Amino acid sequence: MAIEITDREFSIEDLVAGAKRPDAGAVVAFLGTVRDDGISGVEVEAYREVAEEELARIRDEAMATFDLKSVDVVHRVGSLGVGEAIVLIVATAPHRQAAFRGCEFVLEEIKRRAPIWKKEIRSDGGERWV
Amino acid sequence: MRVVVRAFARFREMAGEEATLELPEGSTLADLLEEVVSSHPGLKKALSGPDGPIGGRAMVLLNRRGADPSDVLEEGDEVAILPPFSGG
Repeated sequence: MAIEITDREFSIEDLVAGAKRPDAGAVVAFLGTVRDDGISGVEVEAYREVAEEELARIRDEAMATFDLKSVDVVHRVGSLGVGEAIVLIVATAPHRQAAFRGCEFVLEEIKRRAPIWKKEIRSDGGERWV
Repeated sequence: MRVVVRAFARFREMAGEEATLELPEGSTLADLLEEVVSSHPGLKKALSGPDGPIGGRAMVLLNRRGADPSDVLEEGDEVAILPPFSGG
């Protein structure tokens, strides 16, 4: 299981393929991407040491709460253009309900608890922390 | 004693990424925050709230853990000031 904050592009296919396992009949992947709200992209910043600890804690809580077999999280930092991936969560479980719920739990807790920030870069060059 | 202060996102743009402050022995986290906001008035509003120096929607961590304004600082401590999160 991987928990990673990275300034590099990642392969969704590789992460999903790596998460598949014989005892999990369900693999749910959530991909968060940069939405075009009249912006050209975002800058993503993290308090990396604390964010990685918090992501691992969220993963452990999800594993303890739902009937999951694995949880992987990759979160990008740095400059990202519209359409690029910001976060990928892959949850596997024997059955779909646990995989869906576990994946959603991880996403909502990341948004609430992980020290990560986004700054929107507008097409006219203006900037705004969100 | 010397304490490292790190700031992130909009607070980093106001106060700089990292600074080392020299404080008298026995200083508390509240003392340090007073020092920080006096040099960076823009941070005062963000870090002030009804509950004292740590309030509102900002978060302050001491050595990467939650902290109380009355916590006494030690040489080499790391204090981080964090605006509301927006990851994911």
